[in-house]
Amino acid sequence: MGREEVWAKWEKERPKAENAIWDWAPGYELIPEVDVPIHHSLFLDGTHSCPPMDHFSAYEYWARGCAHGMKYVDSLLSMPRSEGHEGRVKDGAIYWIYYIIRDEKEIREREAKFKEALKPFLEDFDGIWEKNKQELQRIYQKLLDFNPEKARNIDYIRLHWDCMESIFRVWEIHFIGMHTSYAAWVLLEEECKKRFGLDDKSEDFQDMFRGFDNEIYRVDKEMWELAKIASEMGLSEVFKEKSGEELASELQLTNKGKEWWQKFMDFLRVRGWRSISSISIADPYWLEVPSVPLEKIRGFIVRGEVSRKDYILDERRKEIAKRREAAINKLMEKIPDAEKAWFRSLINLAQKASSYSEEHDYFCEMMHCAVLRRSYLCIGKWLAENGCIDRPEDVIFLVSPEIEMCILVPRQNDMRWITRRRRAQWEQWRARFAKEGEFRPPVYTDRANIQEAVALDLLPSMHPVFIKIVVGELPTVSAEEIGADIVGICGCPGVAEGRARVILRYQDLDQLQPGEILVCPQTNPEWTPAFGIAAGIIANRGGTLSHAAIIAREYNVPTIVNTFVACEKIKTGQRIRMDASKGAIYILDKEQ
Amino acid sequence: MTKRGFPVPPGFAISIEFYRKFLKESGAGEEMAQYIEKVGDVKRRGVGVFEEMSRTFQEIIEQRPMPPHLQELIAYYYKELCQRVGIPDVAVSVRSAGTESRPGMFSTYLNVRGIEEVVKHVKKVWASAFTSRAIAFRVAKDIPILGDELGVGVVKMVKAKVSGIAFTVDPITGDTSKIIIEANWGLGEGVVSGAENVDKFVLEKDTLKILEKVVGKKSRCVMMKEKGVEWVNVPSEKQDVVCLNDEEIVEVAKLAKHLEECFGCPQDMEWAIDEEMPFPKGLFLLQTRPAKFESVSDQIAEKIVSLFRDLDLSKVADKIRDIRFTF
Repeated sequence: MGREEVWAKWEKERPKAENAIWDWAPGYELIPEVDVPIHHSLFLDGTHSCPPMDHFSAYEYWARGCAHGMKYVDSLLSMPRSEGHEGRVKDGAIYWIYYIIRDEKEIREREAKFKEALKPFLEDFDGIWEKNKQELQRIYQKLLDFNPEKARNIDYIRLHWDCMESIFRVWEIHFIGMHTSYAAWVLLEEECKKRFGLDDKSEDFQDMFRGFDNEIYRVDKEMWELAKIASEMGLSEVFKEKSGEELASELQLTNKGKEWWQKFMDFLRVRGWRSISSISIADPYWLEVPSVPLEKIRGFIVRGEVSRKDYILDERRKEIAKRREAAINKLMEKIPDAEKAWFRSLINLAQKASSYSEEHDYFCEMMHCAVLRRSYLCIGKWLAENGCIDRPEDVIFLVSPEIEMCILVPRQNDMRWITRRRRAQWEQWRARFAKEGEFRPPVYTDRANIQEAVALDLLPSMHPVFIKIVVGELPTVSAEEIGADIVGICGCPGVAEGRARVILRYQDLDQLQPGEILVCPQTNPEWTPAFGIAAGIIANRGGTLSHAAIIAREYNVPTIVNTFVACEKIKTGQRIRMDASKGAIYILDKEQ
Repeated sequence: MTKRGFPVPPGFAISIEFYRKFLKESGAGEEMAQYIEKVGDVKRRGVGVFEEMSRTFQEIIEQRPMPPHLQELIAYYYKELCQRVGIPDVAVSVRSAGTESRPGMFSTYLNVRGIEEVVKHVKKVWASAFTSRAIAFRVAKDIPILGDELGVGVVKMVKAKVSGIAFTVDPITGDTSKIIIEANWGLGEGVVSGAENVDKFVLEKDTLKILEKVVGKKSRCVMMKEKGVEWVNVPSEKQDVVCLNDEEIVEVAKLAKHLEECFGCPQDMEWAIDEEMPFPKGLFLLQTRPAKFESVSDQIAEKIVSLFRDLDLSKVADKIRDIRFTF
């Protein structure tokens, strides 16, 4: 029998094979019959599992790496009721199991340690984050220093191990900043609720966290500056007429174009290590798809923003910073003298939650994913050249022990029987997702329903990160109660009226016209440049510490998030009015 | 007490090593150790056992004579001090100085004159490590009963016109941007004891700008008598008058700030201004230690812990329609 026939025969008979339990992620594949009786509930990570993930990313990056980060930091800080979460993989999705501590005595002991562990972060959050950023840069530079031209098999295995080590370390750093800053945010919100009836959706609260720069905005500004240069060099028309994909070749046709292209490449060499998804190494980074940043630069020109003297955020920031100080003073006036010192300090720390939310995305996720992808494509090329896999990209269908096995002796190993099978599986999941939407159940549980599962197996962890991103993000009133068509929560206060533009992918952002209200599923840093011209933003998902809200507050654009249904209910062209402070959306011409 | 260019009154220090020598050579150490063995476990025995232990230990230390060569050493340094300042039988304060500061736990004796008195009070300082309160504290913290071995500072008494304390942090709020000074006429005891109404000044640490001046009704203060010190009434014309002028306030604050910079943490210090010396020469540092206060981060950390303990999430579970994480 030829090799292919052997594989096909095994594939057919696999369900009956003697030791066939896990094939892909030993110990991590979700087996409901075994996992549910022990852990009761496993929750789908719907944000990161869409669309269905490749095997390497799901297993190594998420199930192993992310779970490690959470477990490690929960132990490091001695989170009173949580020991982290564990990942399971199924159908290209990650499911989380929450490790909840329920013994009261143990909780008290951990509380005392948690209090002490928090203090260094309360005293010098910025210092710690700065050090961690430097460590991240060193980690990434080491990986980028790998030179495939000169590498031998022994260099490739080292690269693989360095990558694996980086996965665990970067996730640790990721969570260290989140736990502490989010804890402060939640505390500040509780204090404001108790004392002033304010929560984190009200204008007076949100104003305190605005007017801060971060790395993502700096990159946006660099792109705006490149757009200005292009305009000054007389290239505006080219940018307006050609799409991001076409511009690369178009600009090579003229001297001015080539000159500008050099400047763009200088920018990209530094800023191009940036994944477009930061979820999976299957997704490209900017250096691979320059059309993505080009499209953003193009957007500045198309929207006429290059005629501004100053970058829009720099302009708005002055005003916003004034509002911030006024909001803080207004609040501080109401605080008794004896409490002013720690309250002010708490506000400072809660402000970190906002900026950390953006910065960690850039440094811990987007850059890391890009550098990992580059490394594994090098490994993939090495394997493919030696006949071990069909093509370099297929490396994403292998997991770490498998890579380890074949990387020193690729000619001796034929991994195609694995990669072909898994690729077919992945493509099947994606096709189904594209057709049906989310087909994986939101939870595997033996509790009565999802509410009970959440109440018993998630919330008792009292984890500031989970609380912030899962709980407390729901509108407190229904649409009927306030006479609105749709409700959500306030991401950035303000009122706006205009024509709606429903955009489902950031690649279509150039359709947005100035003064329109952008309606989208949710946003990430790829969407930021559009915030400058939208009159308002409405998102299906998101919370007060999600990108849409933080960015909106810096751009000062009225924003409503977590509506669940806006993209489905609103049609492009409809006139709508939004009152963000109320979380209310009114569709003014329903006949369309 | 370190002398890194700080204005401390002349004096000398008796080391912990000296104390250990006393314990060994006088036999006091042996006797105390035997007593501890006899008493056995003290943890759950009630306050009575501490009081009895205290009486016993203090008696042992104070009754056992100072071994001759140790007595000679103290006499030597005391004589040298008298010569240095040109005053025979100079009045000194005999102060506790441990390796770990426990504010207010050990004794200080003021206006002590003559070698006999000095030696007597050195032993009294050592003995002050064995008040029932101090013993109980050590037992509760699992520190050995003989654990607090004290150094002793013998320092020339300042003829104080004005004295007081200074904190380089607001001890109530944990605000590290301020310097707080309290002052009264006479000796520092008039402020340290916390009993009387005194003058209070608040400065901004960075700029040394005076933010607040509160003049207290200083009806009583502490002055030196023949031996020791006493509380006296302040003449009525001085009671409502501020006891430090602006220049003096800033000078005291500067001293406090330098101490904080030197030790790297907020300080709780005692100072005095000599009535005979031209300002700023007469400003002396008498004592300093790390300030005990609940830092701002302490307070916040405590509240975060309480918050997550008391958060009631039971109502929220019902409202969850969809548990996709909102990033």
